[in-house]
Amino acid sequence: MTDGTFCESCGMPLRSEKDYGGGDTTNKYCVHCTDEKGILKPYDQVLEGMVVFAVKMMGSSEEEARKAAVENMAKMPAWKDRGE
Amino acid sequence: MKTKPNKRELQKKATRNLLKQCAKEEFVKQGFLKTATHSIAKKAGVAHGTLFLHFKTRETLIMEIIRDELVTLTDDMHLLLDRASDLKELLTIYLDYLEKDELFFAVIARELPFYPPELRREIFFTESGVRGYFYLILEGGIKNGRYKEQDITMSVTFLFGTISYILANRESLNPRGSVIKVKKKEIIKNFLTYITK
Repeated sequence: MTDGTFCESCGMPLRSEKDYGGGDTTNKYCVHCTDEKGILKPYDQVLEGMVVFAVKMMGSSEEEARKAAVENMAKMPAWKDRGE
Repeated sequence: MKTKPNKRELQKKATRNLLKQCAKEEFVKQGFLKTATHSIAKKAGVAHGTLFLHFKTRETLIMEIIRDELVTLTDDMHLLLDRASDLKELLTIYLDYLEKDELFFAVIARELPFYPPELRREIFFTESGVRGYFYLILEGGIKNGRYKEQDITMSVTFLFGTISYILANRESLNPRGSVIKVKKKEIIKNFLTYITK
């Protein structure tokens, strides 16, 4: 049972079929956080994706982007039980 | 079938919303940094402890307010991206959204560098999502020959930097009312001029 509107891994809005992992509208995760089959990628891969995205968008340092991504992921349902 | 929320849950939700509303008003009045949680609780007419039942810290509060605002914005932007790739429309949506709560966003624009690092990073991270829509539209426009070849990250930084400057300095730029309302057309027109072939 999902929250319905946001990716539980990165918080991206899920509004149309193409946003969902594997194009499946019952998937809890988005197309960026999953592989072609719609399965959630490992933590490190998702983290790297977020870091690259944040640096590209904000022009921030990789270090800052990494801290932000780690902090953000720690709050997301997909990762918060990871136990850092 | 969803069960009807009981009276207690409704009351809890009402208190939470009231606290957010009061917090927002206090932040606008004196900035986030100077606002103490006890003054928010006082304004809402609840015990200080009650505030902490709903929000762990001051930072949690402001982030939730920002996130509430963001839901509507990203919804609109997401739908637009599905429909058509029009930068003017996207920028209009964004500026309209800022105008609706201009005083609140002006506070953030002024204070952001001084926020606790974790809060600052969270706001940055949230903003990166919004910037993503602009990035995609610019990228598409460059591909189809509409816009100049450019460093997209830099162009978006210029845009958001300008908007942030205008918000932070609204007292100097239009002390009598909304600075976004007055500058909106100019911002859109000029940005398009800079990036279009």
